[in-house]
Amino acid sequence: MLMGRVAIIGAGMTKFGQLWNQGLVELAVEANMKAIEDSGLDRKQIEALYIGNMSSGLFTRQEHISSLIADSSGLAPIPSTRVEAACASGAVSLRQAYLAVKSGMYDAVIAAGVEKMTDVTSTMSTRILSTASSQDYEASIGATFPGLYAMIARMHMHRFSTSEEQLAMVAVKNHRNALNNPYAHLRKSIKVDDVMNSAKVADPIKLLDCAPISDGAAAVVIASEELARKACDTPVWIEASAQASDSISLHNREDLVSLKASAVAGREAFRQARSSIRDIDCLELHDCFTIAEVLALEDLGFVEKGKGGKLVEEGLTEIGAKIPVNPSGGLKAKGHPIGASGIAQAIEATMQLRGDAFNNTNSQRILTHNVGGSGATAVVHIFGR
Amino acid sequence: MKDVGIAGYGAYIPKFRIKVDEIARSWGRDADSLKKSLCVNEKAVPGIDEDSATMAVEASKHALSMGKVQGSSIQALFIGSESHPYAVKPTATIVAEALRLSRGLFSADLEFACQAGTSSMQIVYSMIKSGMIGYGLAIGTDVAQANPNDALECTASAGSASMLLGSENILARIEATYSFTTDTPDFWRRQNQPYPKHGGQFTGKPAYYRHIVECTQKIMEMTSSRPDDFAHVVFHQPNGKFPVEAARMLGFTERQTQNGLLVREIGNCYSASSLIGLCSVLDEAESSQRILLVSYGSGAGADGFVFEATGLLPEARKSFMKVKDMMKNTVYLPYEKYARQSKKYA
Amino acid sequence: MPANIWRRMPSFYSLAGSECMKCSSLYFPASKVCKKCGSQEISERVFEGAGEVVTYTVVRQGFNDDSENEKLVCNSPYIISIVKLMEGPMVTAQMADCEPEEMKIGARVKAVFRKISEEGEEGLIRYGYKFVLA
Repeated sequence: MLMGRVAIIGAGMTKFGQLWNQGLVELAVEANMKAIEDSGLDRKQIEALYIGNMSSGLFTRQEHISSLIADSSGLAPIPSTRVEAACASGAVSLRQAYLAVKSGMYDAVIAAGVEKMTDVTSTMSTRILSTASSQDYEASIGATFPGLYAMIARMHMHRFSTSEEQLAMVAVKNHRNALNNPYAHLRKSIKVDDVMNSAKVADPIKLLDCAPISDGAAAVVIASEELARKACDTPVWIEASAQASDSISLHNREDLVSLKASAVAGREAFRQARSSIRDIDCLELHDCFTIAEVLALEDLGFVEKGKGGKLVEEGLTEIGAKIPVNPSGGLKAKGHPIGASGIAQAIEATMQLRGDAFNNTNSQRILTHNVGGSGATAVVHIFGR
Repeated sequence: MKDVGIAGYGAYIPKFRIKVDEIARSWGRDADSLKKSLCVNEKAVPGIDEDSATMAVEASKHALSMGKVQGSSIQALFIGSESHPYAVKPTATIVAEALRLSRGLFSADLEFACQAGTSSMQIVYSMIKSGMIGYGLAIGTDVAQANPNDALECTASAGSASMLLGSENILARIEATYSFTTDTPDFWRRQNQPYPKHGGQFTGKPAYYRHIVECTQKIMEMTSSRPDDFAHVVFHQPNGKFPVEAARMLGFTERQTQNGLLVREIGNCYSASSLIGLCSVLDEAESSQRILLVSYGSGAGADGFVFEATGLLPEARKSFMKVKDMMKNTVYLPYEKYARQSKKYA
Repeated sequence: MPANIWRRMPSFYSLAGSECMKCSSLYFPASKVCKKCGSQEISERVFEGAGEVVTYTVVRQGFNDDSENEKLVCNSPYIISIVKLMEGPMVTAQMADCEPEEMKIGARVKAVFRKISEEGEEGLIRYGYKFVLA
């Protein structure tokens, strides 16, 4: 009964970074306005709004931001829904918007994501981010997010001889990619030694292995096939939208060096898109920590389990190489305003497929991958032109 | 009347130590004269996350396991300490919950300076003797407080001892118990004060010695004993000098006191002090040997106990680590780390 | 907050998890539904506390300086480990009385009862399991 295709016809985002002059609402409004303008639609044509946001309540003491942002964007009285899935909030918001259009209910909706993180101390933001893990059995005993990924990294190193240098190379590449991206939080070239010598956060994870704490918002206008063809010369088709869940606690997973939810969502996405890894030209992967990019490459099947570090070391994930990963700079260098990240990945895919990306990869088909928590949620989208 | 005694026992001493030399160094005091006057070389220091409740749980697990008794069969838990984690909110309930004891439980937190552990033992003993309960735990546990740069800082340590009492499968039968009590203010700590005060030399003759001696003489009279009837003698150990001197005054030899005298290596863990000494004695005692235990609590009182080891003791303790072996795996702390770990910022 | 600590005491204090009465699957923390077979016939299962280190990290930038909420009672840095219990389930826990240099994957450990956090000097103390090298 699902008929038409669904496309992204407009995209807009704020710069990512420490945006002292903008609060949560201003960020979201800026992204929404830019996305509507980019789509060429009149704002009255937007029928619903979905907003990915992890923790506005803890970061800014503001809940009920769905209506607040709709109203502030001049979009009331259309329905507005906040979507939360920790760091995957953005991609889940995109998926809800996609499903709403796919169902035939709407012709044009906005999928947005926003996070205002820098109004609290960094200790507090570490604590807030840890609410994406089990409060009773992980966070409250002192397991920070870097700590959880560090335990995955150590296991990966132990099992597959992945080296800290290989992980550092992920950061070096993503920083290099971000140099051309004016929206990126960290536009600074770094070397492997810089990563190796950066402050230890949770061994073996060091400061430059981590995505920064960023403010930012991103929004895309999603349209039905009919409207997309009418309104836009370069619609970017959403060929797959897949999501999977797993145990929220690392310790309850069968395998600590693999995010099962990524693998399941990846398989489902390829099934929906009737494609395989050979059809994908470029990846935007969830690299909240460098180890996460390695895991994603393996879990999505782009390289055999355990060989991800080697793939990066061989330069095969660079722009222009076999399978470019995170041409935007990724979460690592572009920045990681939690709720916005999944949408920003879709925007990078859109720009790549339209041919106006800052690091053009001449791609026909792009896969984006967004993870919530330490792997309890994974969302995979495939976009084509 | 039925026999009542120790059916299992357990001691817990934290892993960390600080040497008197190190404490003296940090305050610019003469280590040799301090060591000489206190007869203590080092003391046990708790981990940053240890307190009287956590140590009591570890000691009690050991006691229950030795006695092969399920937590659900324990009907009383009395716990003596001068460092209960809360001013209001029982320690007994925390320990009972962690040990999954019976919900039908007689329990209370006790405080009688360093004597409250043996006071607990008297209460549980009486309850079993009277038939009120079958099994009970009596615990002495302390993270001893001392003012920084007070001589007391060189001895105040941490530890816990738990005695599983019952009337079946007894490892050491309680022959008699007696208490000697007067109002003698040699050591005190007011409400809401972090550190105790003491009367210096006044803690000796009228306080420690008088109570220990009077209590010992009376319980020996009650049991028609002479000093050489006891294979082992344990007194409260505020420092290395007092218990040795008291033993000499009462006619005991070094051989009788050596197994239970641990203060030189672990310091004075207040309510747990004499009970940990008792645990160490029980690690060595042979069948039908008699043991004398006399605790002392400032303020002041002394509790005396006479035990007789049974034939079950050597077998029961066989697979358990001895107190003296527990004392081997230690880590020495510098004063800064000790201060941070014990939250002393003075 | 008191109610949540109180509610979780069996698991925090004595590693009480659950066992599925149908397929014998073991869980920590307890699961009201067996994730394997879907059965709701569940009984409490207390784990011994012996196990081995599967992986670990030394947390150098933690939230033990978070004074607004519960404060972790531990040294800084502190070690977090995933321990595989003898019975099978895994648990995330802090290591106590242990230096980073002493840690290694596969190390044998046992559970101990320690202070986990406190709501400041005035607040409630949360006790629970940590692990020490066996």
